[in-house]
Amino acid sequence: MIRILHIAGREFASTVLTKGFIIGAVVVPAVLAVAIPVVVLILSQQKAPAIVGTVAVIDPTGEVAPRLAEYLKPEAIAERRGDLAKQAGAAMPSVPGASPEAAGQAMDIVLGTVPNLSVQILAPNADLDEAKGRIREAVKDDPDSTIAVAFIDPDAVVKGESAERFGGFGLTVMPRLDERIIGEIEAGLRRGVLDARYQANGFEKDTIQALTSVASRDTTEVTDEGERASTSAMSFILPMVMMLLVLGAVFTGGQYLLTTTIEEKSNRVVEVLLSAVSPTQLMAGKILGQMIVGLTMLTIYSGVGISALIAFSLGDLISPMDLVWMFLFFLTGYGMIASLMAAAGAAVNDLREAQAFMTPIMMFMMIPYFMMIVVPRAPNSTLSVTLSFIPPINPFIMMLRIASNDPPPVWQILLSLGVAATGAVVAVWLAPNFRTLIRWVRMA
Amino acid sequence: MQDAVVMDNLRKTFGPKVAVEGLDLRVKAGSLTGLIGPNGAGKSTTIRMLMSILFPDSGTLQVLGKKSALESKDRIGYLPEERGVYRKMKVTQFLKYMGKLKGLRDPELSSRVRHWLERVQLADAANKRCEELSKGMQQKVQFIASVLHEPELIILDEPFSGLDPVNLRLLQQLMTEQHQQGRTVILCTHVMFQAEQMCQGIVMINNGRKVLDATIDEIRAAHEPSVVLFEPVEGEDPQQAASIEGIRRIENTRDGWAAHIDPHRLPAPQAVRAIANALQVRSVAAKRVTLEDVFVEQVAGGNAEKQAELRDALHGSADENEALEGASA
Repeated sequence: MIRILHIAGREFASTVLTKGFIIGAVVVPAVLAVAIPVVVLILSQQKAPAIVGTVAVIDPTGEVAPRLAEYLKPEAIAERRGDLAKQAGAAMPSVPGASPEAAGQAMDIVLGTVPNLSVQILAPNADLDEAKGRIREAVKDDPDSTIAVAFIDPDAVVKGESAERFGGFGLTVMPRLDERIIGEIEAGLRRGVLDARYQANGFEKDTIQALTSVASRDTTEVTDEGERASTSAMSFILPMVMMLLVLGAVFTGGQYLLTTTIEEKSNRVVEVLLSAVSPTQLMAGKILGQMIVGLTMLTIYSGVGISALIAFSLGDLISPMDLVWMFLFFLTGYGMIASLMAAAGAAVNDLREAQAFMTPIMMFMMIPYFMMIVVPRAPNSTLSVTLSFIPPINPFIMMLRIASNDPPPVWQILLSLGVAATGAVVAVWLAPNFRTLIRWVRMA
Repeated sequence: MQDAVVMDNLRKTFGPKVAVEGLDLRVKAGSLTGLIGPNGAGKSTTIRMLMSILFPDSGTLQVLGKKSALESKDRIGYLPEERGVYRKMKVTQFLKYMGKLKGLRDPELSSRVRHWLERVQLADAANKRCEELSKGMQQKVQFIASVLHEPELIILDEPFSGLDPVNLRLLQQLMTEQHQQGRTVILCTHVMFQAEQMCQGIVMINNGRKVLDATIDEIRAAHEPSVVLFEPVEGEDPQQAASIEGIRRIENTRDGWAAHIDPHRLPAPQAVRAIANALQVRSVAAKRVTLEDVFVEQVAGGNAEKQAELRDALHGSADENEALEGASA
């Protein structure tokens, strides 16, 4: 046993002390933790230069162009964005940290700086082609340059007697004009036409808007600690995160096992080792060592995740039992996948050859990814239940079910764990068999 | 004397290829035995079965009184033919790791590692990564790993390949020391010259079968010299000697003109006299029988073509032989 521990210790030390592991397990999460707030801060401070220019309008109705001019005033645009930010904040109550202020900052980042546009109303009978010609002469950042020309159909506000539909509007813009500005002008034209139609038909604009809008308060949920905003979004994300944590940790350990096995063969050190320990001891030591590597990864990442949840007062979303299941399913999942990886490593001479063995393993392991959306939505459907008993993917599917809103009964979890443990024992027994070891030696 | 290794009727196949067939072997405790044969003869497969790295299809073996090496790995030191080191590990770190796997513990382990590194003149390389060492230096490190735990049985598979003459002599000396300290040493090599120089007992293997198992003295006593080397004076035709009854042929070799004799019809001392009488020579002497001669005779008999093929297979590269001879000079 002491020899297995020596081998495991060397495997662990030689893996975690590599630059790759330190970068992947420690530096990347640390950099992300620092970089994300910094990037958000920088983006929130960053104001792109405002787009300036003139929108020329040919409006035979005489009703739309003045409304467009009002709509495109910088202060009117800024006011609308403020309202939009409030709505966004209200629409995302379950996102930790979401607030109208934060939503406003986000809106600025998304919509850019408020443009400085002026509207020039041309004569109703002005030549459209001549107006469009002005766009070609437009100069960047010149407030008098025409960057867009709008044409309102004569029947846009009042329908012709025999016509079935209202007319509309057309818009021509300068090449590569920011799509957010185009959207703003289009929205102004649409609003202007609608308001003109309401007035022409004797409707009160405010009344129509009041009739068509329904206010709703934040959805809340009741917990032992009291009432709080609904965490439905987190409940959907959590199963994915927990499954990815287990899958990532299993694959990290398995991948290292594959590469170190191939390395020992290509370095021809395997026969030297086999002179000191039995093949079973060697394989057991390697599997144990890389399991601790995977466990380290799992602990680091899940520790960061749990800390984040606690920081946002969402710690109760994960129960201690969930964590116990997570570690147990990691161990069994690792047992199965690592053994397959070790067998692949023992049967080939280099990583290129290993790809041939890895492809079927990887294709099979893509199934949990595909099920990441499906299973949390219906954790007790026939598909979800069936997949959670099929090795070697059952540990990952079961994690999706356990962390979902409707966790499976304990007997199903225990049965799945039993299936995974059996699969692990069979895989460990099959992987380092003598036939494989003969190939090690013959191909070394 | 007790047997350190006992093999009875071992057989090992790889698919259709029979690597070892009906091998019986006894290696006496405390002996220095050479397991020799050309490349592909089955030597390494035999050793791997001995070490329980491979398992025989049939037959039985005993190592140091146990049924397999798995039960006595701590008492065996093995330098495999396919050997390597962890490239990124430091020399001391690697040796300590191997020592721990062999059951050694600090502080004795550290002290032994220091002692051996000094012994093989690698003390300066103690903190270097293994990848920074030359092949010869790595080989010395691997040798240390095989003897660090002071095993009762040391098995060295082609230990001299790739060594320069100086390091080759050092390794020979260390092996001899180990043997003199009472350890059983098995030297596995395709260079028969080496085994002849160092070993007491010789086991020859060809095509997976044992063709000879005897001590050096027994082999020399049983095999009369079959070659007489001579140097004729200028103007003498060396081929005249071919007419002497009992001389098979005359050929020019690196050592001079060689008369191949049939020792049963013309024993070497008589052949020397006959050549000296038949032509004027500066020197004439019977060539001492070598293991290679014995091996060739055992396997090829009188078939000259097969003999030549065997010698080619045994010699490997001319450079290697020159290096070996240079080292032993």
